[in-house]
Amino acid sequence: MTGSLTKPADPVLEQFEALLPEALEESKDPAAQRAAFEALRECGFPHRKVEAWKYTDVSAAVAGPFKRPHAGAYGLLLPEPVQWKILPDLPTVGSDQPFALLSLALSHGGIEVTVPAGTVVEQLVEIDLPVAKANTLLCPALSIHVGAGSRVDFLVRSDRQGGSSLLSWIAQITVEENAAVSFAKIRTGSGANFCHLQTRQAAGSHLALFDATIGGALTRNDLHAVLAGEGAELDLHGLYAVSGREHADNHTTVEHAVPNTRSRQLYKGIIGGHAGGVFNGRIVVKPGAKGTDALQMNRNLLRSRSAKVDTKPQLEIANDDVRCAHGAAIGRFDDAQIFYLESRGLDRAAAEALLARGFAGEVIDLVKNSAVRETLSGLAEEFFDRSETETAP
Amino acid sequence: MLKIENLTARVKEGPEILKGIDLEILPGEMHAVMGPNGSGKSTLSRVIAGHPDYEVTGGNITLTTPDGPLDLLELEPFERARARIFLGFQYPVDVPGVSNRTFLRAAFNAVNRARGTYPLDPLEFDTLLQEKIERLGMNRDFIERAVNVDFSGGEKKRNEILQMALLEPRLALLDEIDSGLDIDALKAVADGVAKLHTADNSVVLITHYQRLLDYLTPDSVHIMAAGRFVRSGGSELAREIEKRGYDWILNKAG
Ligand SMILES: Nc1ncnc2c1ncn2[C@@H]1O[C@H](COP(=O)(O)OP(=O)(O)OP(=O)(O)O)[C@@H](O)[C@H]1O
Ligand SMILES: [Mg+2]
Repeated sequence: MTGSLTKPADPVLEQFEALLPEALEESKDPAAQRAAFEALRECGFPHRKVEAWKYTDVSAAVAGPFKRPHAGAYGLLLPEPVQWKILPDLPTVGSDQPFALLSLALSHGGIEVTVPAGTVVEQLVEIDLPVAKANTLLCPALSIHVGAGSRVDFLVRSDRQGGSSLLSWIAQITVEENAAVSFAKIRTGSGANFCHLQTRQAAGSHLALFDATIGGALTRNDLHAVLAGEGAELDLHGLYAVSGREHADNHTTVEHAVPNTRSRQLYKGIIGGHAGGVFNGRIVVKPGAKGTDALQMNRNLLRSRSAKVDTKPQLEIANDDVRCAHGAAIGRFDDAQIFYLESRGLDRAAAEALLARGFAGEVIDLVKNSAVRETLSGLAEEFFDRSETETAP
Repeated sequence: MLKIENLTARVKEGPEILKGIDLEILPGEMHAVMGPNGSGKSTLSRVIAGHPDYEVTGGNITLTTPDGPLDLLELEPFERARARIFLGFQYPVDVPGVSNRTFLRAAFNAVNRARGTYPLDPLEFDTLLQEKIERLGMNRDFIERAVNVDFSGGEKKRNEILQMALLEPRLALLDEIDSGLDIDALKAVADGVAKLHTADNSVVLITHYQRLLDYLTPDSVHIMAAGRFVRSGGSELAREIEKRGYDWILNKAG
């Protein structure tokens, strides 16, 4: 257990390996966690020559050193009849997913939330992840299961993360037949946040997913959404807002596995200061998945000269009876809009701020649950206030 | 109120468009500017408002205020707005994602902060907005919508008038505020302008149509052609244009 014979010692890996014994001590399945660590050793932490990590440099995020204290509590607001329990089994993840493997190997365990079949949950289900304090490592997990025909809205938040911390979490959502689910996840705070989210939808189900990254030194969201039953529909919306030297990277894969499924995707990025944004969206249409209808759009607003964004939409289509479209746009402020606002008395900075708020507002307004929408608007507002004082002369 | 002397302007690194404009507008006056397409009417209004596409190559624009004369050409567009010049756009601009309410309040507070009035909080502002909307006989629902996005032509123009009502300009430049309006909307807009026009402020109407001037009677009418005022007169000049077109003036002038 002391480093591999075939690979040179990797100090980053070694510092995580040093945390392994205490993780295994509290583990329910040490063998699985040990296996995950070996898989991590095999795939290694990514560098920028790895295609999936080309635009995101994780070296500072994993540098540590980290402490691995016991995880704090989840904040749960579960209206009847929503149930929760300790996650019985750790999820499985691909062997090419270093941060998901890290999260498994050094897992803090997780929770499973279940909505029984045939229920309409009127009240918002709220889940706050444990908080990762400064200089700590936190690896929580969340599994959500919504029974057939149920209707429910979730808000999952990862907040108050401390500086130089590393939070790597795994989430999965299973939506059974004809269920209608909205799920919003919001990341705020600082440090590095890696989220590996898998969703799987049965026939006739509807999932509205909103992925928001508001600030934070480094964020990487890997989403793999599978439309596994006929008639399943996915509305996927995202907002990433970064400033200063922050960086946000969204990798999405939407897999149309069966005939007649539909996905709609809009991610918006607002990037200021010296910050960086990445969007990489893949739409995968399996050979038998006739009648697939998939749209994907990524729009970015660069608020400064030094802000940077890399966007790459990809289509992988294995049959020709499909309707797929994608696009990406990177823009700066529009001169006609700026002059219109200036002619109404707003100075340049105020005009830009209002336009940036509008740019975010366009995707936030797509959130149907009003409590979630207001939360997002409030956080976006705080972000803009913060990033303006930063950029003010 | 406003004095323009021998103003010449061009599109930046482009052709000269305004070729020597003189205009004096006194407080309480309403002027109309008419003229063929492309003669420079919108350019004149945009240069007064400080549009960055244009470069002033000569002349002066002076605004008289209670605090003394202001050399407008020294001011940024937002400073001109805060000096209470209002440009009603020929083509109002869409601002997606920003609600009309948010936009109107931002504009109101920006202009009024400059006047030393304490900014209004959302509730106070709503009360004021409600009052203006009622006074202009407008529909309340488009306050919630994004600024000008998917507004009909008439709604856009009414929205310009609502902005004018809130910002209480001392000088309003209204560029084709009557274009694209049906007869009821035209009446409503003209009525709005009439209500807002007082002995202390001045209005410049840019228009192609006598029908606006059936509701609003200008003190002077200026005919613009190829970047110059080729003729100025009273409101009868507009009626003459309506009957005879521009040719008779242009031919005389040319
Ligand atoms: N920003 C610009 N860039 C290039 N050309 C311009 C610009 N603004 C105005 N022009 C040109 O200047 C001339 C005058 O335009 P302007 O819009 O002022 O005319 P107008 O009198 O308002 O016409 P209309 O009655 O059609 O509204 C036109 O030839 C126009 O193409
Ligand atoms: Mg014009």
